Amino acid sequence: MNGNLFSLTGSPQATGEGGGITPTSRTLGLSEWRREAQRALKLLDKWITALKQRDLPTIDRLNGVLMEQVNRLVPPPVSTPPSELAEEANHLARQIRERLDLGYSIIYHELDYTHTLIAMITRATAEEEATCPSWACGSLMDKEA
Amino acid sequence: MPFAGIELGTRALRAFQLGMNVTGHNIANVNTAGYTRQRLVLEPAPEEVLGARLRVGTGVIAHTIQRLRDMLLEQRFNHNMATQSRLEGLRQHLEQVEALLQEPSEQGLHHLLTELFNAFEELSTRPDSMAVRQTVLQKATALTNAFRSLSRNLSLLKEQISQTAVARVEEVNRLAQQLASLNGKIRAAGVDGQGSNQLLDERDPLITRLSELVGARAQYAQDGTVMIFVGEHTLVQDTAFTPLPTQLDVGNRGLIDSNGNLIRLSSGFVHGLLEGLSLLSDYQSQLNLIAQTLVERFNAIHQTGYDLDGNTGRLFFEGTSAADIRLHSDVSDPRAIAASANGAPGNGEIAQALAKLREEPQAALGNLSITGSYRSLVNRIGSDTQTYKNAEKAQKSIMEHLQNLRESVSGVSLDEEAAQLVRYQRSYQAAAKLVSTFDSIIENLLSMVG
Repeated sequence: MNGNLFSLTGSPQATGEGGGITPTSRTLGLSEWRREAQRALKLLDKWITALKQRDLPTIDRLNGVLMEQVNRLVPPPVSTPPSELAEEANHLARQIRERLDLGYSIIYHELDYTHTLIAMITRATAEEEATCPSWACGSLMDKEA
Repeated sequence: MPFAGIELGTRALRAFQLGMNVTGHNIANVNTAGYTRQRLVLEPAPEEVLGARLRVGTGVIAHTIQRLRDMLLEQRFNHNMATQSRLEGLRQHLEQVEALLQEPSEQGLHHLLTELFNAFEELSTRPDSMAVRQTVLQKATALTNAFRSLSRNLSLLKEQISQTAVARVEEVNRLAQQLASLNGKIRAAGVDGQGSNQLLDERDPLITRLSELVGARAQYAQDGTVMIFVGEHTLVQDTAFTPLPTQLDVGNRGLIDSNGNLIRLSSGFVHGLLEGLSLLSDYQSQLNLIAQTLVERFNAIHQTGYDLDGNTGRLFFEGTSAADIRLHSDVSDPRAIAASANGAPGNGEIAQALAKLREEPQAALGNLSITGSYRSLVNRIGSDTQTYKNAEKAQKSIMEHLQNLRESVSGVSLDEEAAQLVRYQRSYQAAAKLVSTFDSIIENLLSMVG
């Protein structure tokens, strides 16, 4: 039986009168998770917009808010019997995963680009005595086999 | 680990931060994909007239940085443009397929199949009614017409996509020719000549368009010229260009040259068209299988029945696919429909058996019924369209971010700009950590309810 029960540690609805987990409390647990996941989705959408727009204050604020939100999604159900609610939770989780994938791509581009640019600037400023031709970028990319 | 890439990036950044405190030399060759073997060439050179691209700081170093920045973004932009273009090509054509299906509507095959089965159901209760028999023939004719029409439209769409793909490849060849000619002019002008910036500005959109169409990659040479590759094929080298062949290889998502060699495309609009063609062929095969099963199962049952005149062994449908399915000449007269299992005009057992095919699992259709298999095809097309729509939407977000990177205002000095970039790094690194944390939670949940 326990294999089919949701783990609701820390949740006020976790235990029944006898301290055990009741079917009602299981549903409440998943309902709660769904509510928090829906909230997370909305926040993630705002976060993606901020990432796209390179809006640092909003990114920083949402990083904090979302990190708290992650804690509200822990712990998830241990396992669930097939149900409409479980299916919905699954769907929400996949939607969150889609946002994370997109966020990952944007972050990757940002870090990769800014990292390379910083390195170039640092190299250039470290050799202040040197100048370089203002001509084509092509010649600046010295390809070393 | 789905997000391991970010962790690698973070490690590289730590290396950079250490290096920044010591010397810039240590981090000049940063471990960044696609940039590892490139380095800044810092040579004494006279000041030049600064071109329109100069947007950062002052002096030649700043100009160099700006030029490199443009290149970095251009490469990234072009690569992502190719992906977006591929998804756009796919999505556009899948939407056309969805429109051709006309589901759900009274013109859709699902409704027409249901109508035919309903008509046989009715015939099973009134096997001697000429009006009901006439209805059966009308419904069967409407269904076969719809199958043939859908099949024909899918074939036309495939033909249209193929023609578009060939036209786009021809466009690639024209652009390649222009680029080869520009290479010659750029070299003649001298990379540090007055006119070179204008020529370079003329060149960049051509490279972007080539990426968009066939996922072309550019490699820049010391003398300012550019080499263009499509897969393993060298499209432009110096002032020469080797045109792409126009023979399509849908299965391998590529083009076949006159020697039978495959030039595989990795991305771009043409790649999207080839993927679309491949999907369309799959859909058409499934539709053909449904039509073929309908013909075979109907005929197998109908042949065993008797018509109103006591004849037996009559076929109901003819054809082998959605392209040629039609009512068999055996049943051109409503009296010829074999509804009876024993020859008695009041017997409707054969009609009943045919009506039951509606939901009867068919081995040829993976144990789905005829209507179930068609529903599954419609769902698959809808799901494919949605998947590519979502992917295209996500890709647009990435492009939007790249646009913002491109338009980002740099600092008045390189030092200030570097400091500003570090601020961006910090925020995005925190965001990367968030992705990892979030993902592990979601991973747990998916493994439990997935």
